[in-house]
Amino acid sequence: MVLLDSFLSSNLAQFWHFTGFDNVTWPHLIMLCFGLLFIYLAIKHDFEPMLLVPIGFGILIGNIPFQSGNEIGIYEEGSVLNILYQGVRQGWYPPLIFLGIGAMTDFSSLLANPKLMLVGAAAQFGIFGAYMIALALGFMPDQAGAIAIIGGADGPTAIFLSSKLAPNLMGAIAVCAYSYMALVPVIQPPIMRLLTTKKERLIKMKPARKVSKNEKILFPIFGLILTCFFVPSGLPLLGMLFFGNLLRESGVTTRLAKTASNAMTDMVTIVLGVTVGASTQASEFLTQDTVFIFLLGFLAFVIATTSGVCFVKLFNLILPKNKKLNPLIGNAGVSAVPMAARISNDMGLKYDPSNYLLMHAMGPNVAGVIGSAVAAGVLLGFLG
Amino acid sequence: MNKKGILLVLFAAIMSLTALAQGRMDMRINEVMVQNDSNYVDHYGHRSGWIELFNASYGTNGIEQMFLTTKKLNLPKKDKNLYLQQLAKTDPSVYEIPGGDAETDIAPRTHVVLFANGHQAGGALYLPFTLTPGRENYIALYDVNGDLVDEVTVPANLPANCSYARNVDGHDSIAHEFTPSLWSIRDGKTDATAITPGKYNTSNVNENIEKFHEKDPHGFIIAIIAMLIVFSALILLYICFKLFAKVAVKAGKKSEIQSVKVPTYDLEPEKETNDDEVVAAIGLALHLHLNAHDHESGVLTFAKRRTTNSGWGSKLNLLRTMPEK
Repeated sequence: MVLLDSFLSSNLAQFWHFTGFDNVTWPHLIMLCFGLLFIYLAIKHDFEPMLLVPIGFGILIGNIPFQSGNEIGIYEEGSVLNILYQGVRQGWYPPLIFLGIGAMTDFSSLLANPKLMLVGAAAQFGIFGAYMIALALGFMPDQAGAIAIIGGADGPTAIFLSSKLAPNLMGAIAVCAYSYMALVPVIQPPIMRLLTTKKERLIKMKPARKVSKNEKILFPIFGLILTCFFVPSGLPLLGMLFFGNLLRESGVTTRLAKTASNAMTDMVTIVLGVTVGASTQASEFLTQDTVFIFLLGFLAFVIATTSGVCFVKLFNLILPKNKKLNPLIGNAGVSAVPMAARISNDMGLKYDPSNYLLMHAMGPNVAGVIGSAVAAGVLLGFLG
Repeated sequence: MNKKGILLVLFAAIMSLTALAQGRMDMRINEVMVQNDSNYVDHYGHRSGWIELFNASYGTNGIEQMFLTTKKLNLPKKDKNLYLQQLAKTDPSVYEIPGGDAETDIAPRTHVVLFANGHQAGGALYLPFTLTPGRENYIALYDVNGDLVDEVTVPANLPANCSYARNVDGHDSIAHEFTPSLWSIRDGKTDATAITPGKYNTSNVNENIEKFHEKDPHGFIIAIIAMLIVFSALILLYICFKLFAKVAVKAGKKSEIQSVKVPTYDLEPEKETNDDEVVAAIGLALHLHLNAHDHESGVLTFAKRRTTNSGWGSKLNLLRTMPEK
């Protein structure tokens, strides 16, 4: 009986040591709260639910306390989570997401008015402005580059670049990028109001011309060649983006385009979201660097929005009167497709209920996707 | 299988064999220690001279049946491998690395250390010969077929507990010949002269980052250059598609002019009909036609539609209401 007692008690004690109750620390609880907050924001306030729900739940998964050594955790080699995490770590998922984005993006608004590409380019200053600030805060150039890409407002690009330049900061960068993308409707409108006059907000842009099928087919081919000759390091992202778009526009691969834009993107988004969330283990996430990353991410969004809007205002100085652009589409130069374009539209409608800017804003918005991928390629080329 | 098929299989087999051989040709002697009194210990806790090999390729290479020797050999032109195999059986200074050991599969860009303790019984990584302090030690690595893969002559003045290592892992001259300028003696006193059996000889410092940190501490240069590149790429796209647009618009106008005016007919019904059955029949026909391959419920409702589509794929979700602040 005594033997049985000691056997039971020792086994129960051992079991207790394996439980989360015995291993829990305050940082774990804080991170669990973060996870719950993400899920709450996504479900209750509709903040990027497709991303914040997987990431939020991933944070819960990654921060359940456990005793290491049983191939459970995301950082334990051979664990299921670790295997799934390799797609993030090695940068496999972002190009697949880009394939889906390409397959679901209609570039006609950009092709109808190609000068909008320049707005997408101007907004990328958010990335390099944040890069300079990050250097001033004491980050090394590779870390600064990885953090600054948050200004591109493109989650997959941020994950891709940070996995190459600063893998240790990737969790914080990814969460920060997606959080601010969800907060675009909160961050951008005050800046847009501040930088534009009422007269400018009322500018009505000419309706876009109809784009021919040939132009749509040529765009991904020439887009790939022209951009990747400049920055071959952006090939994984740009290559897949334009490939996906060709699948869509060619008209003969509808089935592939549908799979790329629906089933495949959904699957990759699920795995990407959960693993990125799970990678934010308290010990890695709750650091001073994370605070700086969130601060820099915010500044990057502010700079990107400012530079986009200001560029349109400057551009208007040289454009003929009947071809002037509404500066409210400048904010859409940051990627954040299609949220940023919707903000332009909503603000335009607020000041003139007949001024629909959505299709005009989609031009710089999709140009921003290309621009941020090019910028990521440039940073990777310089600092990789 | 037809002739073409056989030829293709043969071609594939030859190419894969060539690729394997090419991979082994990327094996490099990377670091050598001749006299080891207080340095790296082997799996049995003993110290001996050692030879580090580096797989400079980006694929896993098996080194089994390759030959490692301290003897300068004059191999016959034919059947070099047979000659080496015979020699390995009789001459302890020639070692044929045995197969069947997982340790002889070298992952891409990684190292393996072989211990020159003179006792091959330790395993595949234990050499039947030793290295001799105080004199030049020639070491050569031969491929399975007897081709010379790499060779090095360790200088006689190599002090005890110091290694002779490539300055950069796997870095070789264009002619793949032993080039002393690419090697240096390492005493382990500083990071730059660290003795690194099984590890990289150079620390993984990214020179680019160091350079940018030093020359561009505020990031102005990189910001300006990068913005110029981003603008250049998109300006080029702009110019390109501006031209395409012009051509497309011109072509559109031309086809409009050339198009034959199609006569239009007034299809208004002669009299208004209120035949519900006809409307229902048309509706049913359209429904069957448009939903031929889908299993839709066919229920018409005013209830809010909920879908499980991706937010990126669904217009309903893309154009959802603004989140509350």
